[in-house]
Amino acid sequence: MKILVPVKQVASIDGDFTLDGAGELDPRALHWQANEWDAFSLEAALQLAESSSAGEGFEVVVVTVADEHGEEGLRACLAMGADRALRVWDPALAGVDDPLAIAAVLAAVARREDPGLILCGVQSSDSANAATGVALAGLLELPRVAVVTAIEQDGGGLTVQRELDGGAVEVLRLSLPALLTIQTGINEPRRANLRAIKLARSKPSATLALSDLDLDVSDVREVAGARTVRLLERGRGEGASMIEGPAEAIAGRIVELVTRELRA
Amino acid sequence: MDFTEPQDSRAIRDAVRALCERFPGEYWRGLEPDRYPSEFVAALTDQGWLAALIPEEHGGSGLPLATASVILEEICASGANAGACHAQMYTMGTLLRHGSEAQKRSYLPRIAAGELRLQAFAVTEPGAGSDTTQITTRAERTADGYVVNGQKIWTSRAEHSDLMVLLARTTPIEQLEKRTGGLSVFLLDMRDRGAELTISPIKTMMNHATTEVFFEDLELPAEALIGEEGEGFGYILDGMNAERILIAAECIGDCRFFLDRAVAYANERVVFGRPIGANQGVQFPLARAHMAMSAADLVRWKAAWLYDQGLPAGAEANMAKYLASEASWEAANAALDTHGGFGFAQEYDIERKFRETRLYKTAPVNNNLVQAYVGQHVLGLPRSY
Amino acid sequence: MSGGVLVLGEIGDDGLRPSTLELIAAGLELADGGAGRVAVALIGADAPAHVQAVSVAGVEEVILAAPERERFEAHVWEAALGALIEARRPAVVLAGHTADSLGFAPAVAARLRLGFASDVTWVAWEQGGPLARRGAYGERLIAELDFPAKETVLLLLRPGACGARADADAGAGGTGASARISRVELDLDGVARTERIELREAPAGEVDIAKADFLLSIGRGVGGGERIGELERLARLMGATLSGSGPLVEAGLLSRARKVGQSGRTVAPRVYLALGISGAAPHVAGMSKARTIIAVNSDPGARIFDVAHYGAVADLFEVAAELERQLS
Repeated sequence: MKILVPVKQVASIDGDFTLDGAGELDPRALHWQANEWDAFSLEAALQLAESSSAGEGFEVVVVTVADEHGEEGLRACLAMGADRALRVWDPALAGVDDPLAIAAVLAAVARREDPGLILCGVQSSDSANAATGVALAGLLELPRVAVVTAIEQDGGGLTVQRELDGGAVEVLRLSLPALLTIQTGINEPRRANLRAIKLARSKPSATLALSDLDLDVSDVREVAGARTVRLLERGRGEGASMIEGPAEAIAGRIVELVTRELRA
Repeated sequence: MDFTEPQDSRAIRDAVRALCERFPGEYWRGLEPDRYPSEFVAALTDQGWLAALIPEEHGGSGLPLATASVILEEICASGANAGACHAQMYTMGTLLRHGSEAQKRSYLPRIAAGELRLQAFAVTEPGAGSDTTQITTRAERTADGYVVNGQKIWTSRAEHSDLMVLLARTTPIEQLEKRTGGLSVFLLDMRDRGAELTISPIKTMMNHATTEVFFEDLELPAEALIGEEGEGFGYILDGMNAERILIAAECIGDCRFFLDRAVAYANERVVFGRPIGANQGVQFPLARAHMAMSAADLVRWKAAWLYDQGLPAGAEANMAKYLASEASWEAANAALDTHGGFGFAQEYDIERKFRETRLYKTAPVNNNLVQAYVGQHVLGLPRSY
Repeated sequence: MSGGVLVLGEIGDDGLRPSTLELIAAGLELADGGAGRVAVALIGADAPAHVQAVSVAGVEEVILAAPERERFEAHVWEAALGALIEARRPAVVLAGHTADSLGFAPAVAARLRLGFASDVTWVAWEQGGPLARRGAYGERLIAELDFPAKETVLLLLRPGACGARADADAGAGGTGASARISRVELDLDGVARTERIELREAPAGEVDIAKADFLLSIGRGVGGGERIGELERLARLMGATLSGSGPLVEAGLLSRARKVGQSGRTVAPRVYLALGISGAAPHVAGMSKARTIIAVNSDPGARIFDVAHYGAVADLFEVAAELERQLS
């Protein structure tokens, strides 16, 4: 069985930054790293592949939609144990980060690869849409469960647990092919060792253009759900009214405030 | 000019850092004053990090020196001490470059697998420090090998190594035509030795497992000789450039450790109603240390690049080691000053790393000797010593 | 009906979720801005039981879609919402950014090529269409989004973030007086694709921090975890629920259910007492709607003081010890 694991490099902002007048961010303020959730979804895929009897021929394929900056993340996935990497890129995709648009690209990849299981991270830590995976499931009309915290193989299908708001857990069974979005903490992602990092370079990896997927950039842009008008800085708030004095005085004032506010 | 880091650096940094996180400051403090970090070294060996430079056909990873230097840099930047194991990475270079096929086949795969440790390099003697040509430890030819008598000092990790690369005199000094001749290199198996081999630890200001080693009629088989008899000095010099570049990378890692800690503390610690980092007296030394580190790092990369291209790297390797060790000492002092009294408190790890990084101004080559080298061999000035 | 706002109510195992009333309040605000009429859709076998609760003044219609499935099932809800949208063609659909919605709403949006944004924290009707805001770059910035050429825009609103709190705005429930009730028949044969085997309640001692009135929340400032016990004791003494920031959860010092912020819970208690929390953006995003925020941190430059109403620069353990002394 083939397991497809979509991954991305996420942007974070280090230190100081400024927005220009048009509400755009200088890309130099961005720092790229692997999305935290992806290590968990890849680990889940690797564990499924390893737990099956050796003869079954599992293949774990990682895919990203990114320019060449995505290569580093893919190599890290190969070093962790993925068998093959795919990167989809077309210059016309520059600036496209809408979850529905990315899902449309991934859907074309999935139709080509025909995986038995797709494991996505619940969300990415930069834009946190928590939407790409389930949008992909919708486009492929796959059974899916979002925010999965445990997976077990169950005959030809899977038994999974999903996290509900408030800490309850729902246990579900679903048949394959299927898509799951994986929550952090579901497992302990392995770390690559030196041999694996070197070996990663010799694993197969390919770059696909939109035309290889029979997609046109207008198809992708049309399904995008939203357009960013501008970026805004977060308000700094009014600032706190400061309580001065020794710990004793601070504690006294806190007791007073808590009592008043809870009674109100 | 391309300033991109070597291939896979990011992945290596992440993986090494993750490993080091399992060995936090408490681990290193707990080892003081003189316990060896066996668990840490075992973890590094397990994951193949110490076999980075051993070629693939001998069971290692065959990485370029530049990439290997990233491993040691990251170990130091995390707050760990690479001094406990860095020699495992490069001591085998002498064997690799000058050993026979049989020696390489017999030792390298087991070193790569962690079954054998080769991290003792016995060169310096009480009577011969920087002037290696004056060593007196003698290896005398016998019918079926050699007999060694003499003494070495500052032989680090000898107690934690199975094998030792030993430099000994095979021709008496008075019979030499060339000052640098008459020395030979041996691969000494230290296991199962009796009174002929005595290793005594030397207590130092940091936990570095260094020793004195005494040889008394110690017998070596003829196969222990590496390369040609009498060519040992050249073989040893050969390995020094790699060592210096790797030590430079460790110093860069130390700089990063000191600056990360000091900057965090300077931003957080408030005295007189503002973070102490707002004071130029705190901030500027950190800025200077950062600049010194950045400059040293460029020379380190250049030296590593030259080395990996097979080009002469002596000047750059020495300069990188000098600049990086001076920068890490500057960063160490700035970090100590930034932390004030807490810099002296053990739980902050500043004082430990301060002691550890100070070594590299003195070893593996004294910074004065680097200046002498640059003056004489790079600038063409008269010999100064 | 074409245009207008369709609010998708959420019915959980424990009944109508309070976030539904927040969604209605947000829908009514859009209507005030010119978005058109507000209808509320309820999907679920027991949907009819909640008609009155959602019939808030201003809601013109309550649409019931009652599949035979007793419980939430992502594919059934996906089919139901898809059918509702195709039948009514609303300008805006509002749903919660919740564990259930995340299993089907993005799929509906992708299949029907809707305008879409999730985890929305602000929405308004401007120049004939919706304008939404959500976090960007790990909540460091806010992105303002529009939806050109989209007939229907599906927005998932972050619970507790849009408009005022449910109990303040929409009242504890509606009167049922003015809303028209209609039913939509759905052909849902064969769309169920997953099967619930069981529901495990939150383990005993586990809490829903989103329901607490008083949270005592701790952050990296507590150090390595040796002294968390002192703070647990203090929370019990004060009658507070213990919660915390991401780093403590990731370090395994606090259970995941107690995590406030991005990838944790969004909370809006009456009192939020933050001890040793620096106030990184992903955390603040999850607690800035608390009514009273009191922060104790040894760093006067900590960002938490920008959102706190009351602050003290002090050692948190000294203050905790004093609190304990004064309260016992």
